[in-house]
Amino acid sequence: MKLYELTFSQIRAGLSAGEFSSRELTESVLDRIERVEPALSAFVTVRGRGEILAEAERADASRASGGNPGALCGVPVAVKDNISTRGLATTCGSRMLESYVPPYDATAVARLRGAGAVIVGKTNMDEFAMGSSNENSAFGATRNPWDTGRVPGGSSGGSAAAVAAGEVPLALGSDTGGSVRQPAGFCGVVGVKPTYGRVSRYGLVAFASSLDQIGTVSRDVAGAAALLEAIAGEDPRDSTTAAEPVPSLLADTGTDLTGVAVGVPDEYFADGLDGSVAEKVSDAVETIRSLGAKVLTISIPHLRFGVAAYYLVADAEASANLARYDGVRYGHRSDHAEDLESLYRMSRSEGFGAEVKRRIMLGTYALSAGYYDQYYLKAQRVRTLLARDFERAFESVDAVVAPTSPTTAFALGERVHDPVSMYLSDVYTVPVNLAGIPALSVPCGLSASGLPVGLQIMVDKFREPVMFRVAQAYERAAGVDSSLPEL
Amino acid sequence: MPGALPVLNEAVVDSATAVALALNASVSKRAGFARKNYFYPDLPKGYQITQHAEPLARDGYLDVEFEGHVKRVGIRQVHIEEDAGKSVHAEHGGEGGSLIDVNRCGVPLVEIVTRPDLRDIDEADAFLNELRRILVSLGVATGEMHEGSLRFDTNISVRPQGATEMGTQTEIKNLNSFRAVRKALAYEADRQSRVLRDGGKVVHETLLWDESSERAVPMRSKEGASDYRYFPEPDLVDFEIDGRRIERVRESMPELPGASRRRLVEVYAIPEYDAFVLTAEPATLRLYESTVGALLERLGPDAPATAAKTVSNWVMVILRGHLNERRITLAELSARAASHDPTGGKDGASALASRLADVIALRLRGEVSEPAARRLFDAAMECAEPVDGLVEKLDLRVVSDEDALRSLVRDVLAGHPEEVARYHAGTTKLVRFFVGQVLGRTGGKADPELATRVLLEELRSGGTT
Amino acid sequence: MAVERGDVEHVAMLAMLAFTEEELVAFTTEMNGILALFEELEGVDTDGVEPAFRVLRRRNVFRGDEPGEMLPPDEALANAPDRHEDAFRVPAVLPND
Ligand SMILES: [Mg+2]
Ligand SMILES: [Zn+2]
Repeated sequence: MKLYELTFSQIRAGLSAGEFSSRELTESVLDRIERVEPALSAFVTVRGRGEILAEAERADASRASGGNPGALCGVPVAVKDNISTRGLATTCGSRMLESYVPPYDATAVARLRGAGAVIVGKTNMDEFAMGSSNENSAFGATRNPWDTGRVPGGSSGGSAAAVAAGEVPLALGSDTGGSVRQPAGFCGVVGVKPTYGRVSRYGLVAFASSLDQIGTVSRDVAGAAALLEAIAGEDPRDSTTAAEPVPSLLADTGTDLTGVAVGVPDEYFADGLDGSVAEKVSDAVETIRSLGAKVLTISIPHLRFGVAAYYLVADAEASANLARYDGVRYGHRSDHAEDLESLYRMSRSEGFGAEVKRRIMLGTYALSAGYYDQYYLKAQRVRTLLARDFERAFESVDAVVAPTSPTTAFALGERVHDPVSMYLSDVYTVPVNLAGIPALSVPCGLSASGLPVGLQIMVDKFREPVMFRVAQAYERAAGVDSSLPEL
Repeated sequence: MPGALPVLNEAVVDSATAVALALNASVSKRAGFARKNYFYPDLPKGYQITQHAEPLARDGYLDVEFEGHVKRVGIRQVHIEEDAGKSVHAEHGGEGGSLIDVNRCGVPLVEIVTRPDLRDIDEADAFLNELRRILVSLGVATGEMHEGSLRFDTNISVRPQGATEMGTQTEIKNLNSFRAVRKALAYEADRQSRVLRDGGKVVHETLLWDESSERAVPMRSKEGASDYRYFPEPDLVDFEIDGRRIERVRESMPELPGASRRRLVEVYAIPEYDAFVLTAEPATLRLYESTVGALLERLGPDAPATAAKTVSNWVMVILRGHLNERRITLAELSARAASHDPTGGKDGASALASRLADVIALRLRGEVSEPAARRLFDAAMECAEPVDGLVEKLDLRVVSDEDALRSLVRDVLAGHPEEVARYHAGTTKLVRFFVGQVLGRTGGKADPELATRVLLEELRSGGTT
Repeated sequence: MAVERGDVEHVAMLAMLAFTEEELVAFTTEMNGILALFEELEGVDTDGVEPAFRVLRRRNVFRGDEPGEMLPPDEALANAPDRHEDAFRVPAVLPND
């Protein structure tokens, strides 16, 4: 077995036992990146080999000097390209920020560094996190490692593809409407969207501020828990972080789920759900039942309104969040402007791609005079109803399980020109963001056509430990083949 | 920068609450922020974080004394928002363009919105001055408009005489002095009147005051561009202003200028004008009251009824003159006084008050003449020596030895026989000339009253011997 | 309710975006399709339901009145497309500058 094939748990064990060094691990990972990256385009930027290896060596030295090494000491990590890294380009997958280099680290990145992680580079994404396929990147679409003719999902498609292909064991993504979970499901890796406010958004380039959360991508549940523990917690620079202390996320509880009540919502198994996805998810539910969990049928009545409510809220917030890209302080400035107003219009029109412009237009429209009540306010009221659906569900169950997406990874080009069908592929993930609850996607096997299927586990706010417990019990019991795709 | 987030500064919540209480507005229990969306180069995020649906306070008023009556100006709301940057509209080495300085961006400020209750420029001016005094006394602004610590945006509309409906208003921004406010209001009232007289319509728009050309220039031209698409700011949480915060703020609030004025007139029996001047700055008021206190202590039961008025004259005229001549501020002079304080324990204001009271006490006891007192004060500001010692050192004590003075008077009269003859012929105003001569010979130390009395006695006794 | 080309132009004006003639026509059609999806919400009864602008119940998050760390001007301005000393340069704000 090559070092790049190891999961986080195996890496942690191997590093602390001294079976291999961070330098050896990192070299293996960098070789892997060199070999598979041309086929995948999972990264926008990979840092210089020398720089990265020097950091790995420092981690080895600090481990050797004894004491208490950080939880991620010497572990290679990739960071989605909308999370600010000091001195390292942060493009958001956009022409607009092609040459933008942040002068500061996001809080999550600062904490990663503090935990000893070795940041290898920045992963590809749908422009400004707007997309579900990674086809909206200005730097070319990322490919799904399981089938390079298919999309990896999005918008954290680069992080999911990189982890799935063994380019890194851990990566950060961001999840506004499923952008970590959906690509994790499509690529057969674990993706976590924490409770809103669990992880600081300081330094995360804003798409939709009331929905955005930084999340984790890993091969195993233990990796997700370690990565999330490292970055979570209150941040005085983000007023919307939660004051709740971060608990230990993963107790070693084996595979026993006795006493855990799991709800399966009818609405997630209705029309539009792919047969092979339904089959894998149903098998997973049976496995969970067999581990001692009580399985109940529940209802999330407003599920089908989630997509409309989500896109209205997200686009409205985005229309303001993306107003700062005007060619004045950073980012693309048009060479063709004659006056101030044309500088704005030209810079924005040249710098943004089609989907970003589409969403700015929709969000601007939804907030504009005469339409605010009909669209924006209505969507925020429906959001309340969806949040209540979950509150009611969590009165009787500890976790809600459902498919992560209605289908497996679709073909490149299949939906990119049909925004409505693209938006509808987010139907199972957006309610979580609207309600602010945490959710995790764990692989539950391959479909008949050999593509990964994701099982989504949702819990009430700040109950991540239950989510990790169910996920890890399932992961162990199901014995899902964790070998890497052929590339 | 992309990814940066706002956090609310607690001090601005207290400042805004104090302003709201001073303006008799009702403070909301819960307040929140919104984004106001528009593009302008001094607005780096493309939106301003402000309060829209949930301002900190609403529905207040301010009573302004204006031309002998009290004018009540309605306050629509008091809210918190973030400041924008500064555009420097200047040519640079012929390269053209505007320069944007974003240093001030995101700094919180308190905005006060009035109702359309002001009818002319003088009323507006009186209101703004009174508002400035309040803000300065609360310590929420230094009041220095050129520093941008206090800024006004004005909205103005005109209507034909007799019309009951208000006309369309325009807003003028970039007003950096009271003078600019007056000029801009006059300019815009005139422009709007001409538009209406020519049968045109006033367009609702925002104008920028251009100080150099004294013109208001439209800021945003496109119609409909003022659709600000407000929505709740998702990056900030709501805040609550509970009774405890309101009480804490209320207790820390100083007396407001209006109340100070009424109190000064009542307690010290000084004219309203004096009270108005003395309450213009909190530091002046503090100095005045400390000086009166220190003076009464020194004079004890012998204090004349006019002592407080004498101090008022000193503060308004003599002290002001001292500052102007030296081009220093009251704060600088206070600091100097404190550095000279032998006990070293006094703060600037009380050190200055103590020196000032020493001088005025000598003057009121008749120990120094008026000009000598002024010289004494100037000298007392330059050194640490006790005022009593200074009087001797500078030989400023009044010449009250009547015999010595009488011989001086005789000398003067003897030296000016022609004038004495003219005096006796009826040119009585020559008394002033003689007194001047006498005082001059004492170096200003003689008590002018005593000198006059002795002079008249000598003239009357026909001292032409 | 259908959106017309003029509406799209107005929104583009507010959003500071420029579209070509063809883009405007295509976008008008596309926007109507997406708005039809949004209009499904009209069927949801939301009488008496408060809007959920934020999902966390936290209140009163403040910072103290002290200056934080400051970026040195050269770092703050490093990404500027056009810089003059410590300021960003743009085409004239006032028409006659
Ligand atoms: Mg304002
Ligand atoms: Zn220049």
